[in-house]
Amino acid sequence: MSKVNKIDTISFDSYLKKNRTKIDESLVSLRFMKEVDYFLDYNKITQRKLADDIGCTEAYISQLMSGVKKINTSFINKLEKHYEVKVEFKILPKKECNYITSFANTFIQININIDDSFEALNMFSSKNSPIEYYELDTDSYTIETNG
Amino acid sequence: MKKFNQINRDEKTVKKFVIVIEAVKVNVANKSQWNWESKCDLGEIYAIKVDNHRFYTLVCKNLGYRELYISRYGRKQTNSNDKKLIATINSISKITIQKLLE
Repeated sequence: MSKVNKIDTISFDSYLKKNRTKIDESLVSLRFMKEVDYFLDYNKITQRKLADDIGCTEAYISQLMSGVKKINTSFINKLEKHYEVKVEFKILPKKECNYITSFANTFIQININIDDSFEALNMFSSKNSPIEYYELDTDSYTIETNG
Repeated sequence: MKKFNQINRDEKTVKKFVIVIEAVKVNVANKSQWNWESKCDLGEIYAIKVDNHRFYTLVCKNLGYRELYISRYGRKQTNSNDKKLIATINSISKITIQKLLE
């Protein structure tokens, strides 16, 4: 049996504060690279093969995956052209709230509140982190209003 | 802790480590940074990957939050250290989590 050590949170926090903007930029890049990771996984393409296909080094792909280097449009363009895919960008409001409004035997009704025009009635709330439990693809849902 | 100090000496590895943690927080980490390794009664075991370093991390769910306990250290997997890493990961299930009131 062993104990769990506590990390030195002071230096971690101070590093974060000092480099917040750069880290946030890396996170934007990583959001895209996660999609690339899924794409590679689904199509059983290795990072080595991706590098060869789009004409860059494996080290560069590795740096993109680790967030050390950030994506650029040249990378996206090469990816689209070689694999004949289209990368889509969307600008969505950040404060999007999903409310589960009622439960039934066969379905769960969810109000996707995008512009605060819905009035949340009989709202069920959860303390759980929504990101972990409800990954909603808002494109595949149609919003219905009750008159 | 010794391995953290080793990472701390190099600005590049500190940066990589912090990015992994921040990416995990907002759910954008990919498998090159944060890889599922195993699960046990305590929760799921993931590896934080920073160059050759591997920090095996126990992820417990508590009231909808994910609590991360960095528990074991290992080196990048090779043919020769495969068994050792499996033993390292398996040892995480024997951990006792102590929560102390401040």
